[in-house]
Amino acid sequence: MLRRVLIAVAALLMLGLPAAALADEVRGVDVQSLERELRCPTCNGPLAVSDSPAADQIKQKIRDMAADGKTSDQIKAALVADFGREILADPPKEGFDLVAWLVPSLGVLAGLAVIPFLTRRWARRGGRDTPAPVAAASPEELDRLEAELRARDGED
Amino acid sequence: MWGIVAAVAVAGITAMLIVGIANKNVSHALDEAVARGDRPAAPDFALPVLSPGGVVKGPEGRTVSLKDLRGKVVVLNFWASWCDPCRDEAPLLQALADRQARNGVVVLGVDIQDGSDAAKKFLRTYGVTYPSLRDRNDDTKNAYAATGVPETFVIDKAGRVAFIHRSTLAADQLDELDRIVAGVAREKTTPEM
Repeated sequence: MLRRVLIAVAALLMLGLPAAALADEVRGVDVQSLERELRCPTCNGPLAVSDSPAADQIKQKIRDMAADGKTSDQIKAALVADFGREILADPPKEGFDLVAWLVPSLGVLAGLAVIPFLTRRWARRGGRDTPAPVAAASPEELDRLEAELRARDGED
Repeated sequence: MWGIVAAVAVAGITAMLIVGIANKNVSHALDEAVARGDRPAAPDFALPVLSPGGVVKGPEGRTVSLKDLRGKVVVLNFWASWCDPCRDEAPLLQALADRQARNGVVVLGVDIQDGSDAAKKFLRTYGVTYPSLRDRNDDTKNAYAATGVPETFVIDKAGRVAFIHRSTLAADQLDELDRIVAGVAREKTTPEM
């Protein structure tokens, strides 16, 4: 009985562990979410997965600011002011940076728009390439063929 | 119509290849020229002051360009506060700055990929009094094809690269760098303004 209880408790703890591990909050700031929104300046990858010295320094700065009571937005704004907008993993959806969001979407839309055109074009080309069905010979044509063959035999 | 699209695509790919190859050449151009004994033009920059010192006046954030320093020998050093070797190198560069100040040589740090608070703390911690600028978006780092930190360039009075050291300056290399800088400082080069 005791063994079952211990196993159940262990299972519950294991279920709870990932959630506890993921919830990395400092005074209400979800540090890991914030790190996913930022970029490591030396390796250009997401800050959350980078362990470069520069990334570690920024991560510590985030924690320090959160401990000082700054909100997530205030921390992000402070980092942008210090490092520039290049620190953001995704460009903001405003001004010239909108291009980074619009161009891929426009590309997809252009690709979708071209599909019907290409399909019709390929269908037409397919129609031209298929050989026309051979019509069955009429009785008159068969008679004429037979007469011509007979005449040819006669010549030989 | 599809012919045009294909031609544009091919032209685009070709252009990207050309730009890539050209950039690759640029990245080695300074080193190759200096190795040949030439003095290639040092890429100009205009960067905000992180920490003033000597002829590089404040306040913090004021823009200083390489052209502002024409007529002086500049020892340009790329560094960052998170860079371990930079901690060993900073006192050596400070010694160089102290020795060469009488020759009008400017040791100038360029802090890259760094938080300004951390960078200023680094300068205080290691007693650095020579000036530093801040390259926030890597433009100057890329112009000098610096692949990391620390890297050091000696720029003559005419704004040309005279010497490149693409690694950490070791203590036993300080005297050699001092001699090189003193030699460049003695040159009677007419500044190209």
